[in-house]
Amino acid sequence: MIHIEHLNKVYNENAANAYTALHDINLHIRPAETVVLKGVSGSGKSTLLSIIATLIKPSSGELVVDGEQIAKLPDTHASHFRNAHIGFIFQAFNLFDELSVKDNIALPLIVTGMSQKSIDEKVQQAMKIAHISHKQDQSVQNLSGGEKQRCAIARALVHEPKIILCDEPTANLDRENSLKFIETLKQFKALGKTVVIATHDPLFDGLESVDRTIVIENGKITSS
Amino acid sequence: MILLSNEVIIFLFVEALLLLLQGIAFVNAVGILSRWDFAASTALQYRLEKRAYLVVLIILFTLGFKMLLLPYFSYTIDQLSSIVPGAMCGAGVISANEYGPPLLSLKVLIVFLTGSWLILNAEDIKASSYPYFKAKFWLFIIIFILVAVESVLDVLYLVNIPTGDPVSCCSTIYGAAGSGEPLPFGLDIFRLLILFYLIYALILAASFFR
Repeated sequence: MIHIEHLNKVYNENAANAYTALHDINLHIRPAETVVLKGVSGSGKSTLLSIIATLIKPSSGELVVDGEQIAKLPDTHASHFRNAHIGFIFQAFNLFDELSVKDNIALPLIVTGMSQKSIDEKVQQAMKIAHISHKQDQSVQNLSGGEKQRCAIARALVHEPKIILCDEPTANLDRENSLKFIETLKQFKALGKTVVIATHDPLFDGLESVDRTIVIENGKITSS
Repeated sequence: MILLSNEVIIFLFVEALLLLLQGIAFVNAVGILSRWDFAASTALQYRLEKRAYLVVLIILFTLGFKMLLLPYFSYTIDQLSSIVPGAMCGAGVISANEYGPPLLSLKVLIVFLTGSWLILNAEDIKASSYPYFKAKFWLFIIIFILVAVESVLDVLYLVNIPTGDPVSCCSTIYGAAGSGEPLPFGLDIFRLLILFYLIYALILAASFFR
């Protein structure tokens, strides 16, 4: 599913303040696998997640998803790839505060030119999975942290991506909502999604729903 | 006197600026082409891809402007007809010296090549694996060489326009049958019409079979 070989990322390449965020990463993630990338802040896990999401490009190395070399995709094609294959749950949720829950969730589908009827159906389905249907017409700015995250989960699922990437998904949540998110992982698994979670939250240690924990330190994988 | 005309100053300034930008793109294009290997995932190839994106932007911008510069050139030489004795419009000014006709031909050729480059680039960015990358960079190198020659011809042409000697113009082109100067490139009205309708049919056929 996700195949990474000899991947490196250097920020500010060829400058005096060049910084190597990832060093010779080799990783293979199988379809429907749930993987936790564990590491302290600045270890490179978010950089790795952003590269898998085609949000940034590596400095060298290969990233193959479903047999397609995606690290070298031109920007427009990378956007299409992202919209077709990736659901991203951000640490700060990255929702549009002034839009309603329903409209936020519909956004990834609107850009595809899908009919309004299909959009409505898919949005309802995603809201049901994320348990946020009861807040569908509310503005996002009036939601609690946990509700915002459920909205973000629905948005990540609505276009039925094969891969869900989560960057510090519990960093802005209390313990109760963090546990609810962990419960959601089971649903992702039941839906056959490949899930990659970058976190340093000890709540993810030893979870039954997590297949593998990969430790990243100073941009290198030290245990997988 | 010719070089002090406002239109000529603007034309030469814009052309010099575009030539400078294209020169930068040319140097980079040669460097990129010599080391390009899309299959490689090396740091060098990633750097080349980033650089190529910027170079293509420069080429796109300069070639777009170059297309606009041709009608401005026509306007400029048309304006010069007021200071070139005997000239009533641009047709007279362009044949004021031996550099004019080849310069005009070169400009038209560059416009056609530029159009081809723009089509090639549009097709290239539609695909995800840069299928026309090398072809469009080679084409740009050819265009740049022609643009460099054109710039030299531009200066030679504008510097050598006589302001003392009268030039032949529309009065002779459209003179009484058989007595006037022939149309440029040895064409007569009949051949010109055939060419016009042939190109028109080609354009229609190209859009039909697209």
